[in-house]
Amino acid sequence: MANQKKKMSFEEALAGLERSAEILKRDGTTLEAAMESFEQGIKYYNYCSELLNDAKQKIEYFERPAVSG
Amino acid sequence: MAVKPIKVSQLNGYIKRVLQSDPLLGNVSVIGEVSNLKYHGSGHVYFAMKDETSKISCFLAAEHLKDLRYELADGMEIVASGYIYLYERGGSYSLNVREISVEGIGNLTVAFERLKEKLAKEGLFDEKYKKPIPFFPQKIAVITSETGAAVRDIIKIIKSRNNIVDVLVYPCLVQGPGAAAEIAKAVDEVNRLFPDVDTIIVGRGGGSMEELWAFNEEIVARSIFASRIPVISAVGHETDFTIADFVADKRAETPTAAAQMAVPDIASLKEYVNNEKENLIQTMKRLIHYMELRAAGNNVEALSASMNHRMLVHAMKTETLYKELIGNFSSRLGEWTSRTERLKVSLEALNPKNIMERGYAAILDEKGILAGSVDRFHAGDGLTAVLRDGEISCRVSEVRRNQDGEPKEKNEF
Repeated sequence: MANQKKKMSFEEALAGLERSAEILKRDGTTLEAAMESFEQGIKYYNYCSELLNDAKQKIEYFERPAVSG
Repeated sequence: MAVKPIKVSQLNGYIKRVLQSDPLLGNVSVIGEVSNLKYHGSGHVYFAMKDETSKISCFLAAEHLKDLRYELADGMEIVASGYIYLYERGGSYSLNVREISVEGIGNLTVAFERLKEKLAKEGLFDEKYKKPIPFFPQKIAVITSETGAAVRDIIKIIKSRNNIVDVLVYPCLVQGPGAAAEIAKAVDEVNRLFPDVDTIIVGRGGGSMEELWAFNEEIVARSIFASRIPVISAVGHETDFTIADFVADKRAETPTAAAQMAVPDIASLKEYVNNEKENLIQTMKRLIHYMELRAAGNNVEALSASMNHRMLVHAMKTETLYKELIGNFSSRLGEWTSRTERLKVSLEALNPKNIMERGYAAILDEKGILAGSVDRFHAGDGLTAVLRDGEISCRVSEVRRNQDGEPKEKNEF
């Protein structure tokens, strides 16, 4: 039941990516902070990208047991 | 010919037997308008049905009420099926209703409004209960007829937008008397058996109000409300509103719209994410460029200025030193020249050849060493006298030393 729980959802990663770009654009960001945000952003991007390329779609029909109410 | 009198209870008992053994009265369907509708605390429903000239009391037992597909209202025209029952103690009869059906847009609309009002009052449509539809689902359940147009449309749209999300089609009846119960059961089952489902789409394609009616039944509304998994309703066309739409977390105008709502378009997401990455990289590049410029402005300028300054100082120092050197050198040069001149004159004066010109000779011993004293010689020694124009080999016959032991006269040598 809990095994499907992912470390990070796509939305979270996407928000992280957007946030990183935001921080970089902010005035007065130090080079260190910028580098850190940049690296974070690239990590988020890689994660998003991984999820977006995980094309393992399954389409199935639920088989109702023969004895049906 | 008078008949023997009987008691009231006997008469009523007899009438009851007659009524209940009649094959027609044991299973009748009656059309009429509902009036005097009363929901009793026991769960039973009492009402009357009437037409222009007549009326009959009706009784709906609680056990049948729960299967009722329509919310009843006074003035609504219904078809009630059941049997005639005689209440012996009151001597009255009534229609004991097993099933009610409602037909016609007008009557259905009344039932619809009735239920809508009731559920709204209970708060089933409140915004605060609406769950957000997950943006990036991993699994979608579609509750609908497996043979209908809706399921084809939904799968087609999902496949065209998204090749990641799993789809579980949960087949069920979507019209007819048993449909509502099946839909409600399906919603419950998906919650129970497939907890990994992110979003449920429940719906069907277009149809008449009667055909869509299952989605206006209370049992469906309650199952959607109880669903832990967010539900998108997708019933009929844009203009069709059902109770399910009001209670669902999100209403889609059509099954196609539901599919669009339920899953994100992967291609445009990829594009968006790539744009964001580009954005990130460009911003970083700009930032680095800006930092470079700033560093250049701050340091190289200052550095080159101080370098220039230092170079100037050094150049000046060098210049001074050079001048000093040149000055020193030229004054020394004069000094050295005159001194050299003087030395040259003395040197000229001391040149032995000059002396020899005047008749003096240099005496060398046998080893060829210049001898400045008679002590170097003894009688019989050989010596060489060097004159201006040649040498003479001589032999010492006698050494006569001056008395004081010193040479008589100091020689320049």
